[in-house]
Amino acid sequence: MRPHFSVFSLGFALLTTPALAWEDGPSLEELMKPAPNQAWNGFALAGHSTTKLADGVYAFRNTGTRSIFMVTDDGVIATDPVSEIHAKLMRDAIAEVTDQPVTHVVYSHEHWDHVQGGQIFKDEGATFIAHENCAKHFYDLPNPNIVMPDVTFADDYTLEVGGRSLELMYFGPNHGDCMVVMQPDAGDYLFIVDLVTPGGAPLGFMPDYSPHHWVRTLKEIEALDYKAIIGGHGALLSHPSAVTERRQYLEALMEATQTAMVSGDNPFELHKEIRVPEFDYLRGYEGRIEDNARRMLMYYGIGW
Amino acid sequence: MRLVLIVAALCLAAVTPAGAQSLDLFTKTTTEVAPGVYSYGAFTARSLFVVTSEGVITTDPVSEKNAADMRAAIAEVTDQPVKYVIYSHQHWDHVLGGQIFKDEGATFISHEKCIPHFVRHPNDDLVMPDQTVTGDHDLTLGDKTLKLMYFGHNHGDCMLVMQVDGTDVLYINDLVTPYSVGLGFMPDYDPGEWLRTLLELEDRDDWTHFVGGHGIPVAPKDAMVQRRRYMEALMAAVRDGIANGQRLEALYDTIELAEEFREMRGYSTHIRRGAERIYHYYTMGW
Repeated sequence: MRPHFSVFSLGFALLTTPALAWEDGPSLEELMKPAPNQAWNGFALAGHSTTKLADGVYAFRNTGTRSIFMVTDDGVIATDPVSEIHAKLMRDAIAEVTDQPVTHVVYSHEHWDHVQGGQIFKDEGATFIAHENCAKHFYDLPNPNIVMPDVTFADDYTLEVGGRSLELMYFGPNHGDCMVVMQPDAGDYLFIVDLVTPGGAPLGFMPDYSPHHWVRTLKEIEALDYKAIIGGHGALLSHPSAVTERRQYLEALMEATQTAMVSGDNPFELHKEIRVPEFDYLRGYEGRIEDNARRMLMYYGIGW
Repeated sequence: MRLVLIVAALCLAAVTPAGAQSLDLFTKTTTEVAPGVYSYGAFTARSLFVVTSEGVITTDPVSEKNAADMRAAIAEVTDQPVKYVIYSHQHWDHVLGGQIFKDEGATFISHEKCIPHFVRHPNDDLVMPDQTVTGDHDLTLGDKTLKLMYFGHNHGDCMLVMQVDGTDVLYINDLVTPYSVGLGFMPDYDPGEWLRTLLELEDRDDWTHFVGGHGIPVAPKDAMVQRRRYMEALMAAVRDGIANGQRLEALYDTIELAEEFREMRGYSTHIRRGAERIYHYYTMGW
C-alpha cells in the first residue's frame, strides 16, 4: 500500500491542482467542525465539480449527487454512475486527471438514483461490482439503464487495483439490503451514501430505511476509525459526528414516538404531537418531522 | 394492545374522510359469508374463522382483547375448540394476542418468511408459529379444507391469501381494503409486486367475494378490481409526470386522478403521499 496523503496531511496545497477546485461552499476547516455544524448546509447543488481529496482519491458531484473515483497505476475505480449524464460528466472529469481506463465500477446500493447510467464504463470494459443482494433487486425490477454487476460478494469485500484498495463494508439491511460504505486505502475517508446526509433531517417517510437496522448500522460506523465522511448527497466532507447526530436524532424520535403511543391521546393526531425539539435545527426538520413520525409510528405499530 | 389500536387508527385514516362520519368503526360483528365460514371483527381489523366437524380454524388474533372477543364470538356459533391459528402475514396489527388460543392447544401456522421478522423484532404479545408453510398449502380439518395461497412479496414477504375449498370467498388481508385507497405512503408494500399480486388474484375465476383485513364484513370482487385500477391509474399518472420532467414537489402538488377514483375512501387525504411513494418506486426502484 502506498503512503496515504489526504487534505489532512497536505492541507490546501493539494487543492491548488490546476483544473480542480474545492466545491463551492464552506472551507475544509468549517466542514470539519463537529455536529451541530451549520456549515454542512452550505453545499452546492448547481452544475458539477471534482475535488481531489487525497493522492488518487477524488469526489465528483453533479447537481445533488456525489460519487468518488480512485486513480491507480492499473486503472480507475469509479463508484455510482447515478445517471447517463452523471456518468458522462464523471468520465470527462476522470480524463482530466488521468489517461488510465476505468477498470472497475462499484455500486453503493441498489437504488436507481445512484446506479443508473454505467454503460459508458461498461463500453470501455469495466468490471461492475456490487453486494449480491443488489443483483436480486436488479433482476426483480429490471431497468435497462442499469448495468448488471459482474462480481458480487456476500459480506465485506476489498477491491485491490494497482496497489490501491477500496474497502467495501457491508452492515446488513439498513437502507435497502445491499448498502456498502466505502473506504479508500484504509484511510481517512468513508464514502457514505444515504445513511447520513450531514446536518439534515431524514427524508419524510424514510424511503426503504429500516429504523432498527439503520440505528444499528450507524453505531457500527461510529466505531470505525476515520477522519471525514464523503457524502453521497449534501456536504462534500463532514466530521464523523454527523453519523452520531443522525443516530441520536433517530433514537430521540423513536423514544418520542413510544412515549406518544402510551399517552392515551387520539392516535389519529399522534404524528402532530411527536417532536424532537432538541434537533429542530436540522435542515428540513419542520417539513419532515410529521412524516418522520408517521414512519416511526408504523415501525412500532406493525413491526416494520 | 394500545399499539394495535393506534395502528388500526392509522390504517383507518385511509378510510375515514368526510362523508364517512357515520361509519361505525369499532363495533365487532360476526357474519357468516359461506357455510361455516365467518367474517369476524370491526372496520378496524377483521379476521376469518372456519367451523369444521373437528374444530375451528381461525386467522389473525389481532390483539389480546380482540382475540378474547373473537373467542367469545366463536363460542356463540360452536362448542368446538380452536385447533389452528393462521397468521395472514407478519405485521403486528394482525398477529398479536394469540395466547388465548395457544392455551386451548391450538397449532399456529404462518408462511416461513414471517419467522425472521418475528425473530428480528421480538414482541411479547406474539405467539410464535408452531408450523410454517413454504408456498401454497392445503390445511384439512374435519369436513373442510382451508387453502393457503402464497403470491410472493407484496405487502411484506409472507402474506397468505386464504379460501375455504368449495366456497367463493377469499380472505385477503391488507392487499385491498374495500372501496378505500389505503394508506398513501404504502407501508411495507412493494408497488410492482402488489399490483402483480392483485392481477393474479383477479385472474382467478374461483371466487366472487372477499373478506378484507380491514373494512366491511364482505365485499364483491369488483372492490378489488377498483383498487387495482386505482393503483394502475396512480402509477401511470406518476410515470407520465416523471416523463414530462415533473419533480416530486410538482407531482405532489398537482396529482389528480379520474373522478371514479376521487370517490374512493381516503382519496383526498392520501393521494399526494401515494404519488410520493410511487415517485420513489420509479426513481429509486423501491
